[in-house]
Amino acid sequence: MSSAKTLKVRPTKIELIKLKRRRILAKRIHRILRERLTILVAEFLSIARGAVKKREELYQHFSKAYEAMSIAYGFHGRVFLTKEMLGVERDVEVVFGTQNIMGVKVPLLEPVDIERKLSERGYVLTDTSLYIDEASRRFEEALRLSIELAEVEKTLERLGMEIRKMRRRVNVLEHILIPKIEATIKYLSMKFEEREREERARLKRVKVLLARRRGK
Amino acid sequence: MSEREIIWEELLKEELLRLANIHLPYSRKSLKQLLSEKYPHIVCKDGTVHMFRRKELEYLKSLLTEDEQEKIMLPIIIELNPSYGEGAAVIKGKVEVKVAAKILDLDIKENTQELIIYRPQIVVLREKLRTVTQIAFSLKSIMA
Repeated sequence: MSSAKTLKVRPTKIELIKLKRRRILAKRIHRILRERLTILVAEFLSIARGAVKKREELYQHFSKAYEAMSIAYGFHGRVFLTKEMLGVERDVEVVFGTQNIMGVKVPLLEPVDIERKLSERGYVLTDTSLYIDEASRRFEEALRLSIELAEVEKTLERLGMEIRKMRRRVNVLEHILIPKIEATIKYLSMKFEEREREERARLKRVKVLLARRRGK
Repeated sequence: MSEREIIWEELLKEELLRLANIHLPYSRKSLKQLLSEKYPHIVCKDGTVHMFRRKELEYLKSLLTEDEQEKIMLPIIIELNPSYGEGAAVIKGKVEVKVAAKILDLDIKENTQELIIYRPQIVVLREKLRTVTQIAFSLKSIMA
């Protein structure tokens, strides 16, 4: 029997018992890993579907936001708008945390108060028009969506990496380790059976010899 | 056994222990408690911090009464149980069952303590309440 297909073990009964235990363990792990892989793939697909929708939504929001911005530029002029914009710059507050999806650590981003009220935006309402309000609102929405999309895409990346790792482990167990253990068990069992048959034949031979001696 | 094979065996044992619900929390918190926290979170057995999305907590709050908000323990555990069939899972707890049934639009009797759901329903539940639910392996599925 080729050694590549079996494990290198001493042909003893103890080894056979150990191998049988290893087979149970390996099968148990294989089943759990496969189950985990199925769940991870389902999670990945459901998140990916959401990501596609979110990306389309983001593109739409950005195109509408830039459209509103260009109208505002046309209405007020570049110099006026740039001057107004200088006063409205602010930091964006995002709560960063982690979530655990089946043992995979993925980010959780929660933007805090991205969409401001009209009075909180910082520009003089009496000097500006509705076009600026519209552009600001659309950009705030786009910013919120960008943060949400960043979270989803990082989650997909992490889940994808875990799925790849998991699939490799499942394949190693399914195609290499478990077949090797089973082949070794079969090899050892056959060897012991063979030994038993030899022993029986030897005993029969001894019995015949003893009977012949007694007959003399 | 060769050194490589001994390492393999150790790895297998480690893998089994690692996989056995290490992503579950040490202890669960009630919805009311989580809502009162600035950053609602729990600590998992693997040492990671699992944060809850406030939007999901608010959604749960809208589904439940004041009393139920104190009774429901989060995250809701969806326990995969092979004894109910391939891909079947169980949700335990009166309030937890009520929430799941409402989301999945299922008719259940009052005071039902256990709800059996299947893979497509798990996906729907997870999509709506991703941070508030956790999938776990039952002891049976680990040791069977």
